[in-house]
Parts: sequence; structure tokens; C-alpha cells
Amino acid sequence: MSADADRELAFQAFFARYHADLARLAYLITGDTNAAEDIAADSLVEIWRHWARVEAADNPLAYARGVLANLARNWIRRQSKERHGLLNLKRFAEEFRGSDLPAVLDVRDALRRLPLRRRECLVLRYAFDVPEREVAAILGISVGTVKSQTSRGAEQLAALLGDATRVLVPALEG
Amino acid sequence: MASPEREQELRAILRDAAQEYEPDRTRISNRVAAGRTAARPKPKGWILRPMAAAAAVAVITVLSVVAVRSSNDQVEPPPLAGPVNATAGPSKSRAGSATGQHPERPATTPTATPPSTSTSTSTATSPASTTNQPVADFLTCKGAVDKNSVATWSQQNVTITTTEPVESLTVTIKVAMTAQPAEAGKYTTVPNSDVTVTVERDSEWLTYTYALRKGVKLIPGDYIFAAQFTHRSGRAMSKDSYTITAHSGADDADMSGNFRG
Repeated sequence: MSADADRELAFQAFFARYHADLARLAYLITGDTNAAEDIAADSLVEIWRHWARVEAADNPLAYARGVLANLARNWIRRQSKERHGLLNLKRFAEEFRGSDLPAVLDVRDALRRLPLRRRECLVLRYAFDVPEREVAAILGISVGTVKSQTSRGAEQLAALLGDATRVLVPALEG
Repeated sequence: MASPEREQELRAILRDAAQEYEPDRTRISNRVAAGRTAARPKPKGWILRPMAAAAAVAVITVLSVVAVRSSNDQVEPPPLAGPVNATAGPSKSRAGSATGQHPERPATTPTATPPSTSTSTSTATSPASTTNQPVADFLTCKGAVDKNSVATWSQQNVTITTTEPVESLTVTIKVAMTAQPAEAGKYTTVPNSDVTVTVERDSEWLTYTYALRKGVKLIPGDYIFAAQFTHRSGRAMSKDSYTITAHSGADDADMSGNFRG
């Protein structure tokens, strides 16, 4: 009984401390606040279900971020499948037009254009200041890959945002 | 390769992009509660199944002894600040920066919140009355333990229904200091910009106060005020209470009650 109570207290503390951090990570990866909150919540449920593993981990937050990155990836895959549906023709068209007019890119739009791996690495490294080795563990890739993906991601993001900031007169809106 | 300056700039842009977004804690919390309910396997049942009947009896005996013990535990001095911070330990380097990123963690330290003006009126009415569904001309209310509550985490809900515009409203939820309650969240369906919510703690109560801001009129409808808190298992809710003071036109409402399980 008291083990349950301890676990509950520990979980509640974990929730209080990290739910916002996790939701923000999901937000930068998915670009969608609703999805971010759902994904953060679903990760926390997973964490609660496997609390013993979380406690055994030397870095519970890294464990949680790994769970979250997986769920976010699944969500993005589902989204891009749906994108082929007719309902998303409009968004498709917008994005197509957007590729001609990079002038109005904000960070979120720019991030969305990065290939997922680059985006994950860049967000973890730059927005959350996670060390390379930890990013590698979170994403299940090598440190070398983290380095190269991060630097390519940074370059690409800089280019996307740079284009946007360098345009003095906003391009004509359709 | 981005230049070091450009890298710093990108870092700042990305950090800001993350911080600009304020996640909805209540929404996350509700989804976690729902997910946990769905994920919970037949609680202890499956452990018992493979065992012989005699062994099952033994387990039940042990469980009830533990239950009695944990209810006695409440008398022990509270290691209160302890458990919440205890988990702070595990992630050393990351932890520091992570906590820094939580601007929304409410300043609920008892000393930080000024004593609310409604405290005197609420203490005057709260503990004695045990009516559960009081009624005024323009307002009815109900107190209930939220169904997502679990052994060591609870939510008390006060639901009010108003039929006239309300010009002033203060709802106070008092959680008795049994089984070490610790604030774990609070919310209301009244738009956040229209209310102030404070949590105060003294030796007897954990007090959640929701006050409609001056000049705001609440349109008729149903509203929920919820107090969430962690506690030790086996907590009795009977001492928890709520009070409501409201004002609509020439009518006043002064109500109080307890929470039904």
C-alpha cells in the first residue's frame, strides 16, 4: 500500500515538474499545441505504467523524452498519411504555395520543413540544451548522427529564417 | 556550418518558441487521469488468480493489516516538503534547467499569497454546515469528489448553476489537513482572465479560493471549481468543505456544504 502511495507521490511530483517541458518538446516537434498536450499526456501515462523503469533510469527526464519522441513520431506519420486524403488538399495547396513564398515563415513553419530527424536533434540540442550523448540515447541513434543532423538542421533553419528576415517588403499575399 | 553568433541566435529563437507556448496543465492532467484509468489492469485480481484459496486468504489478511497500519500512519509527523522534492534528485544536470523553465508553476507558497478577504466569512460558515445541495434564488451548487480521484490523489469539485448574471462570487474549497494533503493543481471553467485563484495553507486547512474579478459579470450557466491535491492513501473526505458567497442584483447567496464521494 505505502509503496503505491510513494509511487503516486513520486509520479505526481514528476508530472508537476516535467509536464510543461514535455509538452513544449512535443510542440516544437509537431508544431501543434493540441497534439503536443495529448502526446505529453500519453507519454506521462506510459511513464506511470512503467514507473519502475523510470526510477531505475539514471535520467528519468531523458527516459520520458524518449517515450515522447516516439509518440510524436507516430503522430507525425499518421498526419502525413492523412495528408494524402482529399480533406487535406487545402493544406497541401497552402504548403505548395508556401514553398514559393518563404517570406512569411515563422519558427514553427520553418521547423516543420526540416526532416524529422534533424528537427528532433536540433530542438533537443538548441531549445532544450540536451547534451549530444543524451540526445543520442533519447532518439536511439549515434552521437555522430546527432552531430551531423543538428548541424544540418541548424543550417537549414538559419537559411529558412534568414530568407524570411532578409525580405524587407513582404511578398504579395495571394 | 552556422557561425557561432548565428548558432546563439538560433538557440535563443528556439528556446523562445518553446517558452512562448504555455501548455494547458488541466487538459494534460485530465488526459493522464483518463489514460491511467484505461490502462489500469484488473487491480490485484490477477495476482490472486493463480494462487490457492488459502494463500489468497493470507494475502487479504496481510492487505487489511497494511490498511490499518496506513490509516494509523496519519498520526506520524508529516515529512511534508519531503516527498514532493524527493524525486528532484535523479536527474542532476538536466533538472536545474528544467525547473527554470516552469513559469506557470504557481506561486502557492503559503507566505506568497496574501490572506484573502473572504477568509473571515468563509470560516464563519464552513465547518458546521453539512447541507449538500443548497439553493438560492439565482444559484444552486453541489460538491462532489471527482471520479478520477485515486488512493493518493484527489480532486474536489464544486459545481454551481446560475440563472441570473452574477456580479460577485467567491468560492472557497477547504481541504482538511488529514493524510498530508499537498496542492497538486486547481482549475475552474470560468475563463481564467475573469478569476483569481489562490491556494493557502495553514495548520488546519489547505484553502483554495476562486474569486471573480471586480467588474466581471458571470453569465448564467454551469461552472466548475476544482481543487486537486495529493495525500496519503486512505484519506477521509468528510471534513472537507466549501463555501460560496455570491451576489446578483439585489440577491445574495451564502452557501456551504461537503463533498459526496
